[in-house]
Amino acid sequence: MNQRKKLFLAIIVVFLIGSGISKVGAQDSNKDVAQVTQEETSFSGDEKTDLIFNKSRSTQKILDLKVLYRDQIEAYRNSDKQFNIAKTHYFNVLTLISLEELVGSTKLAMSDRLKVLITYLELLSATLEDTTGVELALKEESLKQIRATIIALKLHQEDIALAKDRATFNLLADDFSLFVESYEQVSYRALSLIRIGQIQAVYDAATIIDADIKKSKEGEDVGAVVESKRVRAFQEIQRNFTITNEGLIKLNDKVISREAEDFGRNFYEDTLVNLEPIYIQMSKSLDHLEELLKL
Amino acid sequence: MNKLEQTNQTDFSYEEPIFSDFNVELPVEPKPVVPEIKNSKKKKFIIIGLAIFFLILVLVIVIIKLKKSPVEITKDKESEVITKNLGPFEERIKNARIDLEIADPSNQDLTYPPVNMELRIDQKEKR
Repeated sequence: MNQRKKLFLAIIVVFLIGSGISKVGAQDSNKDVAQVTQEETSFSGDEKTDLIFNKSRSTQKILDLKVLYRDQIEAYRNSDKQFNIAKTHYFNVLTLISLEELVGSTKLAMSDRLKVLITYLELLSATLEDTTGVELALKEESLKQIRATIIALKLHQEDIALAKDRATFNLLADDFSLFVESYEQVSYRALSLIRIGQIQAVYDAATIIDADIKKSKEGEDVGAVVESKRVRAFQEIQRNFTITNEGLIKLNDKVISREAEDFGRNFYEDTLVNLEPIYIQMSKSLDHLEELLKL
Repeated sequence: MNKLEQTNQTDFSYEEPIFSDFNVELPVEPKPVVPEIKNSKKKKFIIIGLAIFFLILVLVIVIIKLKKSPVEITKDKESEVITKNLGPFEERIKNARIDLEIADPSNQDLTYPPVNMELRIDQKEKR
């Protein structure tokens, strides 16, 4: 009995010691957390400029629209699937009940499709507004086209909400086919402007950085060897900038000279092909700027 | 005494003392002498072993806890902040590089809506 008591007491003592150690450990880890946050706050307070926030460049509005767009595509896929099933079923059995089901699923699929199309234009509009490298007149014109298309699609959406029978849905399908081409033109035009503008914005930022570096290094007393290296670096960067700028001007001219109805998928794909070497050139220029800082 | 040898017939059987003949004192078995010293040594070993086991267990738990917490903190913060000391020019170039990555022409962002533009119940009438 005595031995049992001793054993029991020993276990209790071990547990007490153990819990004491774990509490100390927890306090230490809490201290670590506090220390880390304290260090971070002091760091962000004193050296704000030395912090790089790995944030997404999109604004909250764009991020929200992207999520909404993705969800609406998902909903549309489901309703489109239902529509196809209902259509196949109706043309197999040709009953009134199956026709009712088909009309219902057509309404849902058409409505979901319009939601996707409207949200996509809103997303393009928000992104275009947010892109700084686009020429203002081109941007305004494209935004105006987007707004007009959204209004037209919303009116069509109201008609779908009121439609009830097979004949009306056939008429609405005819009406919608008139929108398709202009929708494509407006979308691809905006997309092309966004793509060109994004690289233009990087180019603009890079030229300012280059000028600032040049200014900051002007008064420095360095040897003749370093000085000549710097001069050669500046010349090379300038040469790259000229090539990039010429490419961007050509692309902008293409957009300006085109008629409004000439913007289609092909134009957008051509733009992407033309942007590829400009993108590589721009990447090289940034590498050179980084190298220049070390001279 | 044997029952058959009993002469008194007036006695009832229940008046007989039960098991009177078996009431014999049994010899008491001597208790085995336990080697107390050996037993107590074994128990001590068990106690010490258990104590060490629990102590190690607690220590392992504490070490795991201590190791886990800083990793979690860095993971949370990693996505938000790159705690790298950079000069203003490096920072600006880095930002331009982030913008350039977004502008990559092979970037599949903002894809055209994958919808059926010819959705209708009946075939379009040819005019």
